[in-house]
Amino acid sequence: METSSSAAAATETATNLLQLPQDSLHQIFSGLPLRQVLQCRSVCRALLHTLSSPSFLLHHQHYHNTPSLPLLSLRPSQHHHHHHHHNNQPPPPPPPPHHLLSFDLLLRRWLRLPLHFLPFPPPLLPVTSSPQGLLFLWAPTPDSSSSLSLVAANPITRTHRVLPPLGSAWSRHGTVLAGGGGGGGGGEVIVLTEIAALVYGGGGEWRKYSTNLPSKPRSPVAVGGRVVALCDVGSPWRSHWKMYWCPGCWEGGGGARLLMVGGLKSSFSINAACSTIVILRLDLGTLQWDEAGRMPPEMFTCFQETSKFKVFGGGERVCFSARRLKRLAVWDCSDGGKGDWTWIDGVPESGDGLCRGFFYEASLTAVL
Amino acid sequence: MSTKKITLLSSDNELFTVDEEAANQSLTIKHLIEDTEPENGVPLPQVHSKILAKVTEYLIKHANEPDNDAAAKEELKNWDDKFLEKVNHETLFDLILAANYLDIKGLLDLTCQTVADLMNGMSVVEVRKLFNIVNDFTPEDEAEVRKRRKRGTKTIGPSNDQANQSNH
Repeated sequence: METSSSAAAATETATNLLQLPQDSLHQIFSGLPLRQVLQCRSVCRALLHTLSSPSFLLHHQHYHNTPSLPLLSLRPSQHHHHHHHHNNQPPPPPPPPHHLLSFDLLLRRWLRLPLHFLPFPPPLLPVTSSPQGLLFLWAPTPDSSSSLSLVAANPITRTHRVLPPLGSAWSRHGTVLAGGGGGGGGGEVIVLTEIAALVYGGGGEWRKYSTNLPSKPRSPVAVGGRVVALCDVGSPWRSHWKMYWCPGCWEGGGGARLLMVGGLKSSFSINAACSTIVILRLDLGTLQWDEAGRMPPEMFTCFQETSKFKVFGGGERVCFSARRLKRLAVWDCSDGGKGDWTWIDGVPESGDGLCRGFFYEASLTAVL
Repeated sequence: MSTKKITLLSSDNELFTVDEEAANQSLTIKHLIEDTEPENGVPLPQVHSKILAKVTEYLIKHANEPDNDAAAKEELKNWDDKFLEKVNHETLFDLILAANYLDIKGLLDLTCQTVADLMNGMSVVEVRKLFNIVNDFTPEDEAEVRKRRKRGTKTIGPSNDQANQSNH
């Protein structure tokens, strides 16, 4: 009986990929790099299910020594601001998609990381990532029309957790900084404003610290257990920037370093032209500065002509975006040395021509 | 040591004879013959003769795996490549099923990696085409995909596969 039925099966219906047992499928797809696995989730529902299962992810992780996928992720451009645009009837911008548009820094191509597994209506606003590979985003709070919840997610394992609710002022005015902590499960996150910082360290609730900064913190970063930000303490006529840090938010690791970007001038006069952009590095242990990198002149000429540009960074990488420049300049020092400067092309149009984003080490091992 | 012969019986009642040493690479067969050897060959009701012929060919070639001989290893690797070169997908999948059932680690690794290599670098649409897989995501998913395409992120390379599928 058994013999005849399987013999018939061999001749009548051809075996296809999806008929293979799960453990064989796990083995096959473990032979593919993580980025290809993510792409294959879009082939059909069965593969989406197989390639999202915890047992497969464990299997894949076991096969590969480097499970993280370094990405440069862009935040969707937002609706409000850009009041300075004087178009007669600007078309309403589309809601941000349920995807995280990202550039694969190893294969050097764009990809979309699906966020459909998150059970929230649009808009989803990815804001940052932790060094451990968690993505943080604002999502509409269920049953509430105005407030947003902060969500920690791992798009690779398709898991997420909604953090305890915050007042709507926090989502409007706060800057989200993730990770930086030495211990813990990688879920540490901080929402920073001028007056206070809320810290979520996995204890199930937000802890509040006062920050008492003299002005709105600019370019804040979380590094080595501290939050470091720039504040303007100057007069209305002339700004004067100082670096502030808020210590002791969480357990910090030693040896942390901070990068700062600026224009290189040959004189102290206010109107002196910059000759290029330099990246300085501050060792937070010794408080010593040194030069980490300098933008090549031919690359700097593209930024020289622009009226406005944005810089964002993470780890040993910095990204530069300028208005009307349809590409991004990236400084990557993750291999040590003085770092490599490269262009990323194919940047999508955004509202004001500037890109905002963050570096994201997508990883299977980031746990919530 | 004298070489003992083992007879294998396929699902369509064909007999294959291999050395015991070759047969023992299959842990399933090894366990089946450990206690008592069946008189009319080891019955393998899940494996058709067409596939069992390939499997035994593999078992015979790999019966004496070289340990430290680099040249012999290289030769064996070339043989492996040739072994699956002209095999169609259906046979490849049947070989995976057989290697899985017979518990032949080497053959399972080889066939699974071959399938993975076929897909590597392919787009979503190409993978569907390669393996005749029907896209069964719902129209709502598709509508979402089309909407996104209209928004003009289409300059962006390979991730466009999803968008292209609506042309089918």
